[in-house]
Amino acid sequence: MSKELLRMENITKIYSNGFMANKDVSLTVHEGEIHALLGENGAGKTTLMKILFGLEDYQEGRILIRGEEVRIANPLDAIAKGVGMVHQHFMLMEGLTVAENIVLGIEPGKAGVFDKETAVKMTLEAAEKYNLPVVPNALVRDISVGVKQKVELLKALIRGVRLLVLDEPTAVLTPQETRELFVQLRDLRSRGYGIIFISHKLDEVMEICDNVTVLRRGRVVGTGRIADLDEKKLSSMIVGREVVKTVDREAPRRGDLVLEVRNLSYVDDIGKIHVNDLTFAVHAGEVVGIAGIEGNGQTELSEVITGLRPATKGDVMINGQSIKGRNIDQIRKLGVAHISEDRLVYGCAPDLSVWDNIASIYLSSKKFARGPFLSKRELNKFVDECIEEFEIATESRNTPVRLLSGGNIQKVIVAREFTSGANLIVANQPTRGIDVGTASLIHKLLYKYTREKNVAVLLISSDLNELLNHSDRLLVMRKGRFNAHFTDLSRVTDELLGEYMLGVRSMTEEEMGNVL
Amino acid sequence: MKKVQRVDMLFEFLRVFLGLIIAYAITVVFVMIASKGSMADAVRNFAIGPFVNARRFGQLMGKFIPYVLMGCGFCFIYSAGRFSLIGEGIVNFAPIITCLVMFKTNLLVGLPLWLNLTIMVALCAIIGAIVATVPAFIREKLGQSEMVLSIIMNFMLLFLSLWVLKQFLLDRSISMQATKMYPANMKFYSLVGTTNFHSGIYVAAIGWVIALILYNYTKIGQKIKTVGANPQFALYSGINAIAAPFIAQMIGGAFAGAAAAVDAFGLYPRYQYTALTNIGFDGLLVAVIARKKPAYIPIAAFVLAYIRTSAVVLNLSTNIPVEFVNMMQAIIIFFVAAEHFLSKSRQKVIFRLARNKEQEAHS
Ligand SMILES: Nc1ncnc2c1ncn2[C@@H]1O[C@H](COP(=O)(O)OP(=O)(O)OP(=O)(O)O)[C@@H](O)[C@H]1O
Ligand SMILES: [Mg+2]
Repeated sequence: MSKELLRMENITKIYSNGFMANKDVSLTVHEGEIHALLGENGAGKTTLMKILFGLEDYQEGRILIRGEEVRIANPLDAIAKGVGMVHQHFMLMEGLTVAENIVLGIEPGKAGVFDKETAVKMTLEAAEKYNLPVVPNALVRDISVGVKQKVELLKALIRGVRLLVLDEPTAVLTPQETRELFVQLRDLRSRGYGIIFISHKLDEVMEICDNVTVLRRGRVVGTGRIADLDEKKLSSMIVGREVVKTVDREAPRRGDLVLEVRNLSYVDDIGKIHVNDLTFAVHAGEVVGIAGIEGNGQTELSEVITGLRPATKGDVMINGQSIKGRNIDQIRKLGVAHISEDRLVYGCAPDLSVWDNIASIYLSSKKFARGPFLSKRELNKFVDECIEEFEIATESRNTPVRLLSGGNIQKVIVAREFTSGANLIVANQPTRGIDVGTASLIHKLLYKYTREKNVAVLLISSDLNELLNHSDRLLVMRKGRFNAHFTDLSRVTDELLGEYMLGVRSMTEEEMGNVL
Repeated sequence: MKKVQRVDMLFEFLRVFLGLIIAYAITVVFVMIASKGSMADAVRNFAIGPFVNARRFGQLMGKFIPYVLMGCGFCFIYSAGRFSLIGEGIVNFAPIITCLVMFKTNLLVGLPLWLNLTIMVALCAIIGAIVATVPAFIREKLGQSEMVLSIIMNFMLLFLSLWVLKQFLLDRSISMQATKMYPANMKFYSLVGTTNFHSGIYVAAIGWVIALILYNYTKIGQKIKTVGANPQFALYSGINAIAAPFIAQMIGGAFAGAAAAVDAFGLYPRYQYTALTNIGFDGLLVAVIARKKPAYIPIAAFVLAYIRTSAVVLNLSTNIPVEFVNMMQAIIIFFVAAEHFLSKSRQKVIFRLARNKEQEAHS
């Protein structure tokens, strides 16, 4: 038996609003172990890790590192005690180089003069030692998410941490990048590092983890060795019942043209081309997926279609009407709903309540209104229905959204957009960070809406399983252009898709066929 | 979680109350050091001074009335994430224009009192709303700071008001700079004897109800809150992120105008402002104490009016220097407005509640 690295004992955490987010939670991690921490949205995973990383205090319990009781005051203290954390949203300085980011806070140099050469040398040494290749002088803003993650890992490792917490690390990676990450994690494991791995993707958990702790409503509801479990057992441990994942998909009955994009280009203020002369269409009743590595123009495309950014060239028609000269409200009224990828910037107002966040799209419409007044009673009922249907874990409709867990914030956004009555849903990463139970609910709804209500869906995602299982057609986007179009998804593998995403392969116009 | 809400309310109350007690304690200490007269007297003056007779209570109410209106107005500006302080200048400016109508036209002559008052308040509110569009325009259309401009404008409005007064309205029969006495059917009347407690209270009450409805039950109120909380999210939701804060500032200006009307035509027999009144800044404080919720405005306005009146009483009735009185005010306001005061104890109570609930659920 290898040595114990971390022991959290009977941790109880009550937030300042009286919410008990962890109750008697215990967790043990040994050297050379990858430990999965699983649970539904709002189960308390991030809370527990924030406690470990010194970002939140706790009321009861104790933390032992290598058998010694410690009190972790803040993240710097955590790092000093050997605990590092890679947050789901990277915490890097975009304008600095890789090397500068890695040594930030422990900069080499004398008398406040930054010694760039040593920084580069330190970076290269660490990269070599941990087998995490990076280019020290590249600007962080120019590197891919996969590389950013390596930088985050190096940043923690160079500070000498022995226990790494990874909060949903694979949510934004391509299969190739995920595979690479797993090679590196296995390498760290063999060197005796301990790793806590949070994820909603159970296949990955099965692949890489050794042991698992499952939380539900703040309590530990199960622990075990991964070798003794399978995906099905895991998911029933998580949600407390069995999850039926696959929907039998009938072929879509394509209806009218709902979204038509013609020769669309988008160039930003500094002249960078994000969307390059794209033409495609989405019909009523079908889900068109867009795959691509993050940063290849998918987000800009969705933001032009929904009016958040102006088109530089070309046009977008929604239900036969051009969006030219229309503001966002008018575009929404043409029948558009939009799940933004940037959930905290565009998707919600964190300080406002769940109610406010769902009501926001009805403030210029006749629905829920009596002249200038809002019909509070109807809205209350509507919001309560949303909370129930989408299983949003919240104290009440008046709870500020910032107090919800990451996945539950996403549910609020999805609930608002899905129930808006639009017939075009532009869904950018709709299930990112959402637990298995709710993700399958959202997928079922997507299916139901397209098949029964003739809704058209443009689904943008970095989760290839999601794209392959829930799209009717699939486009691959790279550098602002399409380089593949699949109409029969049954033969498409993750691998193949990854190669198109990376640009190793690309289709000719003829091969792509009719994208309209 | 009803219980948690009750705990929250209890602690809100305790914070105000203990804030006052602590301030008294500090007063006692300082009075012992500074005062030559009776210490007990000083403390009594400060604590219950505003309540000992009708006149002083009237003084308190005289401040309370405009505070309510000004505070309500600031809730809107502040909720939209804006900091236009234009209310201060409106207090001087709106009534002097109304005085032009009063003294230089025949429009109001012979009309019944209630109608005149309605017209005067409405006129002041309209002027306030119009004046407030200037900093709003600067901010929403030109992207410049509404705060800086509104502060500069306050002084411009003061001097403009003084110029109008001197040029057109000055009563040369008296030595002070003021207009003639307001006609009897064009001013608020005292509700209690000859005290400052005047019928403007009805305007404050109506204004408060309007603010409550606007803020909580209308689309525009909801838009204002949404834009203030996250402008990008508002934009994404299809809300006009320029119009909503613009309107919020106009609403703020209208309430400031109403506050100006009740102050100018309620407390004084003639227009006699020769400096900024500070009601605008106090209105901001009221909104801060009320956590920008119109529902809490009357309580917040009362607390501030009370503190201000205590200070005056203390200043007049003892030999304690006025700087010291001002400092006392600052301390109280600090405690009342500080969010962290008492938050530890509140935490403890809430933890206990959560644990009890947990046990109940398990037994
Ligand atoms: N600051 C806070 N105040 C009050 N409650 C909070 C606060 N932060 C989180 N919570 C609540 O604690 C619970 C656990 O949140 P946490 O972020 O730990 O969930 P999670 O397991 O990481 O979920 P997810 O998979 O969605 O990220 C949630 O119900 C959330 O609403
Ligand atoms: Mg989380």
